[in-house]
Amino acid sequence: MTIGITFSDYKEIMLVSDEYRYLLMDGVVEDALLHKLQITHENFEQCVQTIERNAPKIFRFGKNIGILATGDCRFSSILTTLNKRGNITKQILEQLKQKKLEGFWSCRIGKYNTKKEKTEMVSITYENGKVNIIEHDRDTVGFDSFSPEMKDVFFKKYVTAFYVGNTEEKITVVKEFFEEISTLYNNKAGGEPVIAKIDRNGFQWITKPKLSRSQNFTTYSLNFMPTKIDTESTTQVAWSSDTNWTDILELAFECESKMILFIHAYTKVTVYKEASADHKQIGSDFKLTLDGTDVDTTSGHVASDEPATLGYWLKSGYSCHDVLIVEKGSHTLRIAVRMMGGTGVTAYYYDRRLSILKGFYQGGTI
Amino acid sequence: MKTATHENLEIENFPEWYVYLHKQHPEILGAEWDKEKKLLKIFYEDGTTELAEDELKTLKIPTVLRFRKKATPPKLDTATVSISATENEFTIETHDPENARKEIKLKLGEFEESK
Repeated sequence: MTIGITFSDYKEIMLVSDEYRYLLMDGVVEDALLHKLQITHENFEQCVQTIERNAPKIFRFGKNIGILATGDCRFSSILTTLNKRGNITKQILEQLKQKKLEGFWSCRIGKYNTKKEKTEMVSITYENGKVNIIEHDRDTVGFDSFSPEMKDVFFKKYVTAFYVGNTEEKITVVKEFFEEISTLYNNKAGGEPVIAKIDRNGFQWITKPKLSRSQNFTTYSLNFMPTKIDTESTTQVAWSSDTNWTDILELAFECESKMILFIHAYTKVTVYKEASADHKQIGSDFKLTLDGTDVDTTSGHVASDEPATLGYWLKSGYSCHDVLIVEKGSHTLRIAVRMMGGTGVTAYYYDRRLSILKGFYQGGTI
Repeated sequence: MKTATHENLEIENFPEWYVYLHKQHPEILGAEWDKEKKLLKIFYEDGTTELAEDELKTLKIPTVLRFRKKATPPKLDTATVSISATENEFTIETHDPENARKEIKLKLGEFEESK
């Protein structure tokens, strides 16, 4: 197993890659990463030493460090050790959030080759209007080992583009870079690139060629690159049965690995009670299911002991959050409902939404 | 459960439209209305007779008239009238509000219609 991790106490764009997989992160993800590792200015050296004991290979430049861990080293063991020895507090996180170097950012681009124990990696940093190109680790093969094609792409075309521009422009440039690099790899591997997500917070770019089992590269960095998937509907559903359930929204999605999900389900509901209906409690039952198994069941009473006079409408809503760990494969999330209150009652559902945030879970493999 | 789909319907106020439809046909389990696509789905128990599309297209929500209560609500000859009463008010649902008003006036004399 090989783990690629980089982190920094500065705002940066970070790229972790193996031959087939690239990951781009920006500060939003970085905060999560730092929060998880809880590295501080004060314990930085201690953390580095701790990591060195757990990770055979480590490189650093300035206040940034990167790890290339091989063998049996697992991310969880690094975390455990850091938490035990680091004695970390949240104060650092506050310090880290203060942007001490405005205008500083860096982009690391590299290729881990797990079989040959060879690393091709270079950092491009921008600070105070100056671009620096830094090789990471003298013990590993650095910039000189870059293929001629990669060198050409990096430095003749894109470094200048990285030099200037706002975040959107950087993302555009990096996207173009990825596309060009993907073409190079595709020529070698015969696969097609898939850009899974692009926005202000970065993007995840995955090429199609399958990894062999011997290249079971567990990119735990992906833990911190959650992907949002959602669906919504504004069609109106009326439901008058208190025995039959009906699905009012579903979201099918793929998990590339064992993953952790943050789920949010929501719908507005209005309940109508006829004048002749004499039920003391009216409302709707809600059920959130994942692959047919209940995740949440809620009875939403929207009225009780109301006098049965004229027909009336009552508005309410349903919202559910949950965190689940799911196995690799296809999954379907559904909101099911039924009316509650008996004859003369109808529930209306509209403006409904299902969202998940999915990220790789510890122990997951690709 | 089975689903019947109907296209190109015009439904102005779906919740009220469905309330009226369900009063006429309590065997219906539910319905889904896509306003953008003008697509209606009606859900039935298996074995239930589905409604004819013509009936759905011509279904009109009745007008609701509200009157201050000064006497016992009268029985009216106007078709499709339903009456419900509270302590101070009674209401009439009718597809023919003008004739309903005339009948009320005829049978109750002076009356005051609520706004």
